[in-house]
Amino acid sequence: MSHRRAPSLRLLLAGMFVAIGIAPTLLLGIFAVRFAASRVREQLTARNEQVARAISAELNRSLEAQLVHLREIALALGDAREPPPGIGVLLSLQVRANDAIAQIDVVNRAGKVVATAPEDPDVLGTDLSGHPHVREAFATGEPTWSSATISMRTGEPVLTLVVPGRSLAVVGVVSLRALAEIVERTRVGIHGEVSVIDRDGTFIAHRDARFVHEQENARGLSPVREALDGREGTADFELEGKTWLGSAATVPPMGWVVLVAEPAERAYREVATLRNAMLLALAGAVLAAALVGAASARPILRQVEALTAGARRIAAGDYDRALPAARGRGIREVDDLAASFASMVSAVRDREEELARSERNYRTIVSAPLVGVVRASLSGEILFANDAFARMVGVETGAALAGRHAGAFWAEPGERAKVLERTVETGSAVNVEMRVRSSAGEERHLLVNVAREGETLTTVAVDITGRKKADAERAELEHQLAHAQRLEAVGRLAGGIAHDFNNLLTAIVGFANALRDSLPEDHPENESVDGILAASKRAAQLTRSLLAYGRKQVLDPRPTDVGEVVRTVEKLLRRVIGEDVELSLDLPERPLVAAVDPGQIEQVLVNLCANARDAMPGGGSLRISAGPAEVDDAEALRLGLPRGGAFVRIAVSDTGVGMTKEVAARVFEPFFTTKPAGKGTGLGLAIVYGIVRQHGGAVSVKSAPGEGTEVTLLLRAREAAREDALEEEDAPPRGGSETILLGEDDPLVRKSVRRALERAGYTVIEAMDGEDAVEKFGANAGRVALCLLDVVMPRKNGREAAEAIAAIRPGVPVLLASGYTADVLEDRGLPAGTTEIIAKPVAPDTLLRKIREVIDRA
Amino acid sequence: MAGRSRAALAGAVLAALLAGCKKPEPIRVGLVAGLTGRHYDLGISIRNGATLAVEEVNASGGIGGRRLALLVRDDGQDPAIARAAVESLVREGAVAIVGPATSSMAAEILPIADREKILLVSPTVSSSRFQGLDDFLLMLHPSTARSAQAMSSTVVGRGHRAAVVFQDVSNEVYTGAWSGEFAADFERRGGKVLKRIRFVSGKVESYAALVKEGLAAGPDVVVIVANALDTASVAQQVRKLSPVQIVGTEWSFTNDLVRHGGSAVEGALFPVKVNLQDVSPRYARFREAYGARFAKPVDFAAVLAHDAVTVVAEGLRKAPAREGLRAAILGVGRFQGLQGETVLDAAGDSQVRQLVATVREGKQRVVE
Repeated sequence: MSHRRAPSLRLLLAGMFVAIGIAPTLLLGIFAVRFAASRVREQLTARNEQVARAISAELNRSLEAQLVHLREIALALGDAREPPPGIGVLLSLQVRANDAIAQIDVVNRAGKVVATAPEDPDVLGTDLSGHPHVREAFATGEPTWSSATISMRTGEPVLTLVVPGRSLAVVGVVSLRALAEIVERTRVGIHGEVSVIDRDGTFIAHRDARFVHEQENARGLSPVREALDGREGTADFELEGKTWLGSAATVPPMGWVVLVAEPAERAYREVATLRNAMLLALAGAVLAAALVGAASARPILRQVEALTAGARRIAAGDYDRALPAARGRGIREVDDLAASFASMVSAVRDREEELARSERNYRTIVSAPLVGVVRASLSGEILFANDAFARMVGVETGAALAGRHAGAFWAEPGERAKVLERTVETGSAVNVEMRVRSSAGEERHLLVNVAREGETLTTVAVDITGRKKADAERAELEHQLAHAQRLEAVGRLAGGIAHDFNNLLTAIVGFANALRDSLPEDHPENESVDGILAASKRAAQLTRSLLAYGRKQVLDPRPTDVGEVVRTVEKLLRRVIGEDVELSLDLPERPLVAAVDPGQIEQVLVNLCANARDAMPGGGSLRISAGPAEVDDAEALRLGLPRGGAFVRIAVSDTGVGMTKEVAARVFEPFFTTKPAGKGTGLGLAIVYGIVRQHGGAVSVKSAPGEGTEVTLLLRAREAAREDALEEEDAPPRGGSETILLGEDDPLVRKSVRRALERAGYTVIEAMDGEDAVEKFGANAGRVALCLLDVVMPRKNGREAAEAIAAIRPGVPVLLASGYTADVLEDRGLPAGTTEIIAKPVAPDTLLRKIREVIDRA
Repeated sequence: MAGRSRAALAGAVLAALLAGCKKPEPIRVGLVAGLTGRHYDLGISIRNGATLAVEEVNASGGIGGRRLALLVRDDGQDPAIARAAVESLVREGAVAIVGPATSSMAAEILPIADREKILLVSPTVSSSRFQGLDDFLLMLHPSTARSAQAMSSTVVGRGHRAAVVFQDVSNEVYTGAWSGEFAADFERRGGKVLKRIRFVSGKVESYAALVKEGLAAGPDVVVIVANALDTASVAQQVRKLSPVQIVGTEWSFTNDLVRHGGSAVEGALFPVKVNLQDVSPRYARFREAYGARFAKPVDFAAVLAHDAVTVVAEGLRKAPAREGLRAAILGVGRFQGLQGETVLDAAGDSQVRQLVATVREGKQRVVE
């Protein structure tokens, strides 16, 4: 703001008024002063020249008189070569008679003084030939005047007048006093000066005698110089620091000059007075004009100032008080300006509000943390970036990105180049996935839309990193689910087959046993019957395996110390793994209780160890560890568990060859094996999987080629159960006399079970299906001590029948026999405590023991 | 605010109207010399030469744009007037003084000049009394000793052995020194001063009687140590009685010597520094200008006065104030005069040639 400011209106108007006020006064004044000056000068010139001429005439007369005297002497001398006797008397008379003549000499042509008056022996005989005017007088025969000189006798300034005769000349020394008297006498104005100058330019008369005595030279004064050159007239000149107006007239015979001079200051006094008056008037005019100018500017200024103040308020954002109400009468143009200003104010306000609204909208959109917005030049320089984008590339604020190169953040320069190319060609690029890399190296996925406007590119980016991750996880989960479903389907198939096969086996074993019992000990067919029983037993084992995988076997879960289970099978395991492999156990001292079927867990451990052994053909070490484990819900989800909680962890790790990821993903599939044909069934790990899942647990495998394998089992932990729950069941089964309702749709099974029960002393009421069982119970409710029901029956399954029975007589013990999984039953929520489950196929002793246990408990 | 700007505007307009173009102050240079009385001729020549020089300096633009103003004071060969003149010049702000013309006046005003530290640049003062002093007097004229010895040598060379000396004691400082130097040298060379006749200029009853007394001693050379008018007067009386060789001093060798001396001074010998017949273009221009300006022939005093102003002007170009002017001039040391270079020694005295001149057919001419 330090520019040169334009002049203010007030100053401008005042200046104009002053100019207008001054101009005529000034012009008039200059004219008047000039006119007056020239008139004064004319008058002075006329007067002074007249005076000069008058003095000149008087001098002429006066000197002419001296000349006459000397001429008389010259005439008296005549043609004489020597001065006649008595000449001295004549000379003395003349000197005495004439005040102006101080001395008269007579010289001969050699310049020698031959006579002199007043008498002076020093002068007589002296040589005056050194005086040029003496020589000149003789040469011309005319009288000559010397320039001012100093009298040899008196040392006073004098003039010498030489009047030549034929042989002698008369030399008169004329005192300059006479001239001085004339000069003294003459008055020119108040301060006028009269002086006489000889033809050499030397003052010979001046009111100030110093000029004459010091032989001041006047040739430097222009009127004198002009007059000496024959041009009389008037001119200004400088003398002793003053300006003079000088008029010069010549005195012809002598070539002298009379100078009448007056100080210009005095001569022009009237002019000066006039000029001063004019200046005063001018000053007055200036002042008046300035005041009038300023005053007439006031109303305009007031309005303009009001408008200026209004404009300042608008600049400050205050629209409401932008314009003060008009006061009194203004000036039309300014009023119009004010009106235009007012409408401009309202227009500006509306526009500004609209702009602000729009700006707010845009700002809200741009500064929302949802979408990254970047504007960059075609060359890549970032012109603007919002904070959201900045955070995407790991920078704190958008402002920090301005000026940086946009290419610095894209993970793949190739991607960016392609997008840029497309944008430049088509004007935009839509929904392009790109990756950015922050300065910390973190990569993020962005969904990018780019639009080109002229030389700038506007990019809108959405961070889809989370979604990408979720997508990947979902794909993984889907993969796992598909895998699980496949395992499930295979399991169901295997389980279904095994179930039916089990029923057959139950019948075969039953009848074979009956046959064995009925044959005498030495009967030759006993061997065949034993063969049937042995083959049946093996077949039962296979079906158990299949059921175990298919989770279709009936478990007998009870609170069990898992560590104890491991310790129990240690010996067996050592046999399984052989001597080349070293087994180590890492088990805590305190019990690790889980609701498991110990036999099944043993099976799991055996299978795992067998597998490990196969992975370590050259020997190695096998380690079994167990311990408590806490699993959170997220981990649970990942492991396929319904929820997290306290678990018991069993890990079996070997130092074997390990597996690839692909192999590891399939190890739990049945009949999947990497072993040569004929070796291994492909069911070992499938059974492990089935058993653990049936226990509501999870199994996972961690392996890499060459780094061994670790299989981890997680079993849901339980409170420690009674000690006796863990006791061995060695004693022979006890029978009883109670009545048992037997519900079994398969007649062979029903028959074999009935036979076993009756043999143990029980009374058996048979029912062919669930409905039948409920009816029979209703008829014999009072005497039935226990209901043994098959789970899978027509019309009403075992569970439904059990419920109906419980409705008739609550608390009656029910034992469900099933080849299917126990957890299905559990999930259906049977009345606790009254219903027990026993897995099929079931050995007669086991069945009898269970029946006794349930009846006794009830 | 408004009132003030209005007042300022009016003031500015008035100031613009009233203010004249102020010329820079001139540099004032004083001049003290005897312009009246019997020694007037020397003073007037000095004033004229100095005036012409100042006019030339001003015509060529002055000193750094400032004009020179010559303030002329007549000392009337009166000590009191001379002292008052110097005091008044100091008061009026003169930066230097050209002058005085005579050694007796120099003796009177030098103490004031030394006290006021105002430089006196004298064209004509030459008494050996001031020679070699570290004072505020610069002498452009060779010393009396040199000119007296030159004359003594010349007349002895011409075979003169018996001298009568006429000495104006009104300028005793100069004439005493000159006479003494001459006598000593003349006698050293085998001559003899028969008589020394002292007079006071302007107070002589009869020059004829004075001369008659002197010639009675029988000299073969008359030495007149006086101004031009007195020298002319004595010479006029001598010639009435005797054709004896006349010798004058540089002091008397002015226009008035010839005017008043006429044929009486023809053949007389004078010691000069200045050759009035010099044909160098510089001097020729000066002589012409001088004639046009003053309608008079040039004499040595005018030439030396011109040189004196030249010296002062050159000094002022280095130091345009009274203080430091002396040092500036002595620092420069060499100045282009009208007739060759003027060289000042450390004491401010000119070191120049010494010539001998005479008057032949009414004209001053250098003979040696």
